[in-house]
Amino acid sequence: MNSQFKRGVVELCVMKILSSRAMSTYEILEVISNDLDVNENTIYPILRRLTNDGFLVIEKKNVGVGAPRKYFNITDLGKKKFVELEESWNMFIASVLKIMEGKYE
Amino acid sequence: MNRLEFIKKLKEYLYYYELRRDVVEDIISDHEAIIEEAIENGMSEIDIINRLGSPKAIAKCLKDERKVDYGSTRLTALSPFIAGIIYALLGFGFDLWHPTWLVFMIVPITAIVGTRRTMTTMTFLTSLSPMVVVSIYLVYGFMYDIWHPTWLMFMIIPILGLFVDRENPKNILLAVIIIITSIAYLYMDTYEILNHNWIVFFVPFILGVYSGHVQISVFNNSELLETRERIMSWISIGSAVIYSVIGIVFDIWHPTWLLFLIIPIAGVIMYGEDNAKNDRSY
Repeated sequence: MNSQFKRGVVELCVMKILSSRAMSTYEILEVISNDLDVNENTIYPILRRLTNDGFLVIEKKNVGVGAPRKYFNITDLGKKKFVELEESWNMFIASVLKIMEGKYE
Repeated sequence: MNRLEFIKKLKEYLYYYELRRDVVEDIISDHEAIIEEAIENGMSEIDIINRLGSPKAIAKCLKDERKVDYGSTRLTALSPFIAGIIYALLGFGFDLWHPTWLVFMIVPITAIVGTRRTMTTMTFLTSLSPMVVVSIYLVYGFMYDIWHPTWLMFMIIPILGLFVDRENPKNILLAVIIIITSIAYLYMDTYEILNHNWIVFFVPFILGVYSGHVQISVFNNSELLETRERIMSWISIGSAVIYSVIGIVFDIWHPTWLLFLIIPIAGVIMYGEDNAKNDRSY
């Protein structure tokens, strides 16, 4: 799969996953890699970019004796962006399926 | 590859791809946290390291995601010429060569302002503070010939730096100690208590060494350790040695301390390009 396309899909998945609850990088990696063949090389830069763009926010939580752990949460701006991306994705998928099923004119 | 080797290699490649130091530290800390959490969840060290991928690939992906702000880069590149023109105009036109040379401070200031979007407000203020403090100190010194105890304003720099990570109680504690030490010094200086009252600044220094805020790492043999870091370390140590020798042998402590200005100047020269490169993401 084209890496640029893959990054776009993973970005959408990351935002979807974080819509339900805040997660650490490890948790996001675990959830996504259960269904998609991606490694941390793809996910971590996306998390940093989405954070820098204001779509995600980092919350630090104390866990055990170590340093506070970072949890990513989606911002209001991120939720808005996700709705836009999801709509585009649904339209794109619907069009692709239509073509693949031979329902084109 | 074990955890330590992985972290060491990752750090080396991040520096190799010229990511900014604070970004490198952040990425390293994140990866240490990922490994730690994976182990807590029952994964073996080898498994999580394999899943993370090669340090080189990680560093390359992060480098590729980096965005360049050509607008701020151009402005930074132009700033020496703008400063030169202003300096020449005021110098030749009005014979104001001194302290007009301070106009060259706009070069590092422009470089920092150009990367404003990459930083939080506190980081931005901390980055800007050495230039602003030096400028105010020199202008005030040249205008009124007062160099002491106005130098205490340099304490603003580490205090702002410590406030960048306000969540760390050690940072707040050290910042408060520096403030108290400065006030104590000012009091002792005003009422002439003790001859060498500057010794009080050893208190925050020693506490800084103890807490890990002050670190000297000249003899790090890492194969890809930045040459710039080695140079910066030697400049810092060299300045301190030369300052001490001149002070002890000739009893000239002022204005020899101006020697220390070479440290931020060298820092801006060596790391300025990185700041321009590393715009929004990295």
